[in-house]
Amino acid sequence: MDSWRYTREEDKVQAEARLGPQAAIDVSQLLGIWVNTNTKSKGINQLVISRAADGLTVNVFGACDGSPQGWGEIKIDFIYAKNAGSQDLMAFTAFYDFGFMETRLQANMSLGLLVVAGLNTFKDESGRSNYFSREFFHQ
Amino acid sequence: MQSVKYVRDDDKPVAVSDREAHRVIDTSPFVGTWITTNKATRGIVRMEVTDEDGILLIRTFGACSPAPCDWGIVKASVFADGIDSTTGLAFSAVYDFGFIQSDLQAKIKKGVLVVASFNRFKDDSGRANYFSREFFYRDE
Repeated sequence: MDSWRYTREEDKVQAEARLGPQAAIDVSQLLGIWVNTNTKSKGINQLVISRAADGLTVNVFGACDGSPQGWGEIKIDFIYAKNAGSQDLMAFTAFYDFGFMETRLQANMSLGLLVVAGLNTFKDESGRSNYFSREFFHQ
Repeated sequence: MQSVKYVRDDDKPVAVSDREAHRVIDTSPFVGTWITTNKATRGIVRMEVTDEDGILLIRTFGACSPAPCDWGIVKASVFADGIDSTTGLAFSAVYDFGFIQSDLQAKIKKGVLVVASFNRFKDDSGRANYFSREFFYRDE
């Protein structure tokens, strides 16, 4: 009998579905260039996701005065499957700290699109409100 | 005039002179009890959201048998729908249970609370980190 701890039924998996420490989530569908479905976006123009020696990286290009500006390549913090017994990729998270602002990216796959939410928190005294963004990208 | 830093056009204020020194985002759209639209959910069954002196507090209940699992109360961060807005659009909260961490992202869409959950196991159980997304209606 399994004695795994859980917070909801979704946390439970059958013993045979347990992936084991060496199992990896298949990230192949995530790799490449993701372009905003909204060509007039004032948020993120595109993301470039690449494989690195110790995981995955993402480089985000923000819409700046008519030309994309790279935010810099960072390591993707975590990737997520569609359930606790799955190897099918569903989401990832990454974190940018620009000094004056932090942007936590929480992205998930949906119907072949990459849905990217941004939790944007200002750390300067500019008086701007922290804000939420959500945009859609295709490969 | 002090220049304002930005990494995308969305970060730039429309009217710099009209900015308020300390914006307070309206949390009222979130406050209440939210019930899952999926009665057979194996994820989150209910969320209770309150505002105490401007701090948004979240109490979440997971689907467990015979009774829901009470995750306890945590503080949430609130987000507006733009830098020049005080209209609450979304909130985030983190539950760290030791063996699993659940980062919740919630937003209001057409009166429905849409909650995305990024769940990361920290034990050695061999379970995969997983993502889930669920929908909640306000219990009037």
